[in-house]
Amino acid sequence: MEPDDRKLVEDARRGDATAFRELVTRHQRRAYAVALGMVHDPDDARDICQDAFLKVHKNLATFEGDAQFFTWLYRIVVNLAIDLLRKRRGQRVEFDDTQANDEPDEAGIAPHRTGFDPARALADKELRNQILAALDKLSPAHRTVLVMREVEGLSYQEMADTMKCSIGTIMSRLFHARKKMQQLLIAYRKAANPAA
Amino acid sequence: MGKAEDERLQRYFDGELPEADRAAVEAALTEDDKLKLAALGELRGLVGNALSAEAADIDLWPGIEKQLGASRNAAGKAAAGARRRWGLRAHPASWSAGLVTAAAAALLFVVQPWHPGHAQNGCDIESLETVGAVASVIHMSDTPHRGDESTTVIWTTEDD
Amino acid sequence: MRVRRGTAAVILGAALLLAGGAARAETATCDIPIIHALPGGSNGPQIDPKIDRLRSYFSQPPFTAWHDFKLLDRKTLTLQENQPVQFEMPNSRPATITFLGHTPGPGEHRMRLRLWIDHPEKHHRTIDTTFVLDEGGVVLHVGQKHEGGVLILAVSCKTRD
Repeated sequence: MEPDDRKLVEDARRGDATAFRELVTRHQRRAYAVALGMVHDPDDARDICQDAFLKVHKNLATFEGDAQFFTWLYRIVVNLAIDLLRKRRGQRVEFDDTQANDEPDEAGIAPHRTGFDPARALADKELRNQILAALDKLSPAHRTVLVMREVEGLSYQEMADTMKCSIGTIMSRLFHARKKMQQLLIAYRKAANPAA
Repeated sequence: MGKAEDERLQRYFDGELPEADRAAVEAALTEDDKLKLAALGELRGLVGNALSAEAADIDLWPGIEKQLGASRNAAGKAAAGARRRWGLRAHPASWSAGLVTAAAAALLFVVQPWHPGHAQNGCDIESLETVGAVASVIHMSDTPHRGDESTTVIWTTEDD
Repeated sequence: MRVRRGTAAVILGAALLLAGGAARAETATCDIPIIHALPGGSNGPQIDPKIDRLRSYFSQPPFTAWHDFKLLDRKTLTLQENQPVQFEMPNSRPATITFLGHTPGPGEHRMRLRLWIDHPEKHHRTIDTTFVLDEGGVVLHVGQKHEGGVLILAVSCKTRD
């Protein structure tokens, strides 16, 4: 754990509200990006992140510091997001990869770029909406690993720890998630520019 | 190219290969591999940038601070209640649960004629004109869970 | 001489404060989901997950008159101060929103906004309202009829420096 995160946790544990606020400020954007990627709705993502930080605050005394603070936080964020996805669908969320991976098309990674400019995603709300809509079409399991990997840069091992599954499962989910996202974004691009 | 090769390429892309394997994969990259890597890089940029941009302005602290304050108040009241019920099979957990339930039930729904300059819930109506319609102003509050959520509703009913 | 310098410092300080206030953000970004509320059904409101933020309001009177709440459109508008921006409602009526600037006062930014909705056939504005809204707050406008139900505009804005 970064020395200053550790110090902030220790101070927050002693009741230092400023220290806890600094922890929130430091990690809220990353937490929110992950939550948003998983649940799609900005307000749900906000609620999830607030609840996650409140859980962190409640359990500061029990945090051993043996893991990175942000890993602890993001695990809570992901679990809360999964809980919400379950509640939305009113049934067990599909984390069964046999169904999620049941693709008739066995093609691998597409060698074709979507044509969207990643830099444009920073400023183009419409493009961001399309990307978020495509994310929303993935299964929860696929969406979770893709977001953790592409937003947070978690390693396969870290993702496996968070999702309590094997590295092989993580790799498979990531593979299928990327394939599906490519297909969706290429389709969006073609629909937006049929002459291209 | 088979799925196994693609998965290896993915591990290379994600920096998950041991150094020796990484060097071997890199030395053997085909043009098709390079196109795939470029496509993966583009996807990473799109997803990462989109979500990061959406998160750029997020500020969670006000809602968190409010919840922490509410928790402290509820805990204080629960503790006080438990003390008052000492000797009567006090159940502090049920006290706090009762307080939360009561707070959650405190939804306000106020319909009132609009008055200029009437400060309400973060939205003040300065002027309101209608033609061919009647307008009412409704102030609604949300549950404590959502923090600072309340809204003003401007309801217009058009003449038929 | 000292008194004059002191006075000059105060005046300069005040000028800087005023300049700081005048240099505040002159744009606002507004998020306006447009929701179609329809009657019918008996198993509790069916609310589009994309507008879950508004769920608790739509579950209360007077919204209990409707059953289905579906997000029809969503406008994300960047408003320059005092420059009206028009957008079309799903019922083809033009709506116009204007960011009128900030209001003074402590705490969070508060923004003045004006919203009007035209009735093209009758050549008048059905509603014309100016309101002051907290940063990130939401105001709902309800009542435009559309295909057996009504339209709800949920206006939420924030400013950027």
